Amino acid sequence: MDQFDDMIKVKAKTEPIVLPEGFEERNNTLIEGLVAHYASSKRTLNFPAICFGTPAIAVLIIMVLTCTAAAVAYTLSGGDFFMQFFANKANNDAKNDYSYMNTEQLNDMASSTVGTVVDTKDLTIDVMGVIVSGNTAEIMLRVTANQLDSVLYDTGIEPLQNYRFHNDTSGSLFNDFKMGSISYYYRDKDKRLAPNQFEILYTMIGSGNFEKGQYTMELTDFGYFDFSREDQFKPLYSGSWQFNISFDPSSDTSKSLFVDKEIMIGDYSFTLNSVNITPLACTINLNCNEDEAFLDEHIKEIYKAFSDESKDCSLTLADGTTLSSGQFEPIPSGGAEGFTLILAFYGPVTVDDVVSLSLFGSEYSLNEES
Amino acid sequence: MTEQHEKFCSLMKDYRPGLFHDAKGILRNDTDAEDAVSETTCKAFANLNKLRNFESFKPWVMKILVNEAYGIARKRKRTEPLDDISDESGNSDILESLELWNAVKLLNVEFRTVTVLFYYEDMNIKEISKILNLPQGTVNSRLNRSREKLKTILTRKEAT
Repeated sequence: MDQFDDMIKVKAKTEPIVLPEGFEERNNTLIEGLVAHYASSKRTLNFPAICFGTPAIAVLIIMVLTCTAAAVAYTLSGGDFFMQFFANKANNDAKNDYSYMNTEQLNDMASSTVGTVVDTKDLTIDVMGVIVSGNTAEIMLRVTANQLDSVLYDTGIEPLQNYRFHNDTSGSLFNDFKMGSISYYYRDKDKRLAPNQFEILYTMIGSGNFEKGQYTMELTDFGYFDFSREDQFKPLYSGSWQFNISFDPSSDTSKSLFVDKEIMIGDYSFTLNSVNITPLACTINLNCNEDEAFLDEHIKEIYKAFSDESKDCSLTLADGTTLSSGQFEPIPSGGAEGFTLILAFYGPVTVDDVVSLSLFGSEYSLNEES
Repeated sequence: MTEQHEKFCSLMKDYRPGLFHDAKGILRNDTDAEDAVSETTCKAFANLNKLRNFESFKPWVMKILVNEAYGIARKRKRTEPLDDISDESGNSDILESLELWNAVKLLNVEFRTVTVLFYYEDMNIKEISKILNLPQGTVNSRLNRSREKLKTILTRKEAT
């Protein structure tokens, strides 16, 4: 850099930025509106209205932003696959304690669907594993782009521009679930994948327990995001790829407890309705007892109180071990039609070992099955 | 609100003066620049799930901003002055009040963009090439031409 550049950069830093009057207030209002819409969208289970590049479907997806786990070589059993998956996740995550984790139960949670479900000239899709328990499920797909040398179309800023599917949440599987996450894994994070392969991990929380049976999944348009285009996505292969996924675990490893107890969260009255616990997540369902007009007017404050107090929850195991935010991610959501707190476990928990739940200042025994 | 959304709100509030400034550098008026920032806020929020790592937030949001600003410029079909700046720089009133920012505004849009990103955002050639989807050589040549023009404009100012 020459002297001129140095001089100009100094000048650039010292020049004041003159914002139009009210700019920050207007932008604050916009951000607050987006956040409020996000909170209320959970009430109606819709995507945020301002969402491009993704067809509106009646589900809410929260993407997991960190993909630290590593996938492993293809195995015959979905349970075995996820056993290895969680073992690798624990090995690669030095920040969190996985000592509570029980992967032996994953074979009981595994479904029969495994292996190649789509095989075309362009794309091969393998189901690596499916595990289901109560209202939770995890599915791992491996996609091989047969005509490409690499699926990394990374222009350097964001793996968003790697190859992927434009829509990955269609099919009957997505008709009735409360929340989920989708993570894409590429070779840059997982050297065991071939350069022309990537994996997609679906973590799903259903509105109720998943019924045994067959569900369809549909992936649409294979390409990469390109924000310079009007439609924001550049397909390499247009079309859709549909296949069936069976949910047929050999046993039910989940537990539900109906509580029906009135509690206060901040200054607001709630009813704690029920707790569903599976090896993958604990789902706590509540209703706000404030009247509808008050709720509509104060939804932001009520949601904030709920969200803030959700951070202090914990679970106690039979041996006295406490599981807190180092062992799960608390995910609060809610609105007039109900509030939900999901504790998504980083590794599978033995449900029968969980004896109590500490939440919103009270302790609830989870021994009473219903 | 998720932890990601909380981070988003905090980072957006930190970066928005710079985003506005950069948008204005491209669009040259407050209304269009604010529109670009608003659109960027919405698109970034809606697509936050596609950002893998918050360390990439700034270049990611900057890329959205630049695309939005270009989109607004295209839609409004504004004509930009070409390389020759003599028309505007010949205006003695403008020359007398020239600060760096006013000098930048006299550049053609593609030169303004690289100039804003390089000098105001302190980004390097490689980072700018990723944001603008341009080869590094193109960014470098635009920056060289911008540098020469800025030297000319600022030297004229000093001379007056």
